[in-house]
Amino acid sequence: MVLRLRQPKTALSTATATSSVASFSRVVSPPSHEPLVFNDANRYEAWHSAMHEEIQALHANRTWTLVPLNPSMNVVGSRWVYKIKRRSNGSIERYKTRMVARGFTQQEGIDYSETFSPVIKHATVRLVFSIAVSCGWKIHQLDIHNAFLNGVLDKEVYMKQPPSFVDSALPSYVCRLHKSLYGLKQAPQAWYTRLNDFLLSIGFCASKVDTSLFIFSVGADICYLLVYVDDILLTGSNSLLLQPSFSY
Amino acid sequence: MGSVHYFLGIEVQSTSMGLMLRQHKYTLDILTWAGMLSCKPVDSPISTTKATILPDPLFSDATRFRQIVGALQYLTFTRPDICFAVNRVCQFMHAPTDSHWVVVKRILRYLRGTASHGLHITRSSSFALHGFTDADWASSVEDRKSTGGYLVFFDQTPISWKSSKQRTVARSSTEAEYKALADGTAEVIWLQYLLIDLQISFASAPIIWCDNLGATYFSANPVFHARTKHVEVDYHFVRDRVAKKEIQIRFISSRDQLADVFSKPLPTSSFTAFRLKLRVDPPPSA
Repeated sequence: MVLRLRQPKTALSTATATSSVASFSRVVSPPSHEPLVFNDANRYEAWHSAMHEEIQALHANRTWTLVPLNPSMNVVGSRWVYKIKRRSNGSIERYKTRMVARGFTQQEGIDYSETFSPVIKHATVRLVFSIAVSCGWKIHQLDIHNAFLNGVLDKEVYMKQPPSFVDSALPSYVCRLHKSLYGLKQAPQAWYTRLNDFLLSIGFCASKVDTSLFIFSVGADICYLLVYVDDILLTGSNSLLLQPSFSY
Repeated sequence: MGSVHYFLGIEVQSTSMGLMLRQHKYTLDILTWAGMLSCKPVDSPISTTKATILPDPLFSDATRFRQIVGALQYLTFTRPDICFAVNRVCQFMHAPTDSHWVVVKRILRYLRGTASHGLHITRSSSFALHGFTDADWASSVEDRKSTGGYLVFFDQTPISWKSSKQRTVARSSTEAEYKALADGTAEVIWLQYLLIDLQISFASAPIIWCDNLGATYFSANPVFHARTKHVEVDYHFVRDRVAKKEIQIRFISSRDQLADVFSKPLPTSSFTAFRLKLRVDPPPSA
């Protein structure tokens, strides 16, 4: 959910803000509700370190490179979102932060063109479950970490440097995005395309009547893969799934 | 990579006969959100008494109505038994009134008593599709449009269902049934293509059961009746598939018509019997 917030500060002023907040000591245990803005979150050690981890993951993923600002660029904003992940018994599992792009400032035709991304149809899920039960197949669930960051952008998209994580040497530069970031209009589509290309390259076929269903068959063995954005189910003949090539 | 137990908010549980798909937590979340967690449960999701058109004030919080009804729509993933009732309240999303809110609360009260129920997927002995289609002619008191519904089984397991108000007014019950039959046929054909993609072979053409004799005659008989000339496209679509032997249309008595529950409100006794056939079961006792 996108919350309405005030305009992000300019890159320069946020950079100075960071150096000042870095000096005071942080509170260890954060309150049980999620903070809405950076300044709220940054006072707590848990949120602060979660943001650092996220930034490191983004750098490791080579999500963007810094380029000088050009007046012709449409630069989208960026912000942090905070979510407390809880287990089913209500205890806290982890403090999760995401760096998101403010995709609503993107301009169609310049920053993005296609945004459609298919999801699996409910009847397909029930049919595949029914087949798996009848054949005595196990149904496996696959977890893709930071799924959307795998998507490759085909348009040039520029983003302000993340609030409070501005490069001190190049404070006036902006991020030229290479990978899709959460919040971008084309992020789900870019992720689906990347996953689709990958599955086809390892020998899966996409179903013609439900494009989120992928089928892999060798001889009499077969397996099905269902995609719901980053939730993936895999089922099929046991002899095929036990092969080492399937242990991703 | 792990065995599936929680997917898209659906709890997957093994039973002695197969798998149970439940949205127990999701249901309780909706009830908590609606403030209905401690309400008195009822045995069916919708009342059978005909609604009368009375001056009805608009519901004070339309956004809340839309949010809760929207949340209920996703619950039909594992709950075909509330599909008809949820579709009914969805028809008033643009301008909900107080009496529509009463209908929503009735659904929530039904869910309070059946929150832990789920769709039971059991082992199939034969990979065959069969469907049921039904319609309730001129059921909408506002505009006299009919409600149609279908239900498709893969052997013993229901896999696809729908209930919806038809887009045009039908001049006869046969016409309403025929439109529902065309919708059900389209779904069965899509599922057939899906089975081909899944490389599952099926021996015989799927059977669609319809409880209106007139509609079954039309699908088999090339006689073009004056009273159905305006349903020409649906007529040709279904007839063409029957002629190619891709589907079979059979007559079934209304008593055994499983799609009944997708086209009209039912009294508790027959509703409970239908729910059993829809494979919506309480959780297996531990």
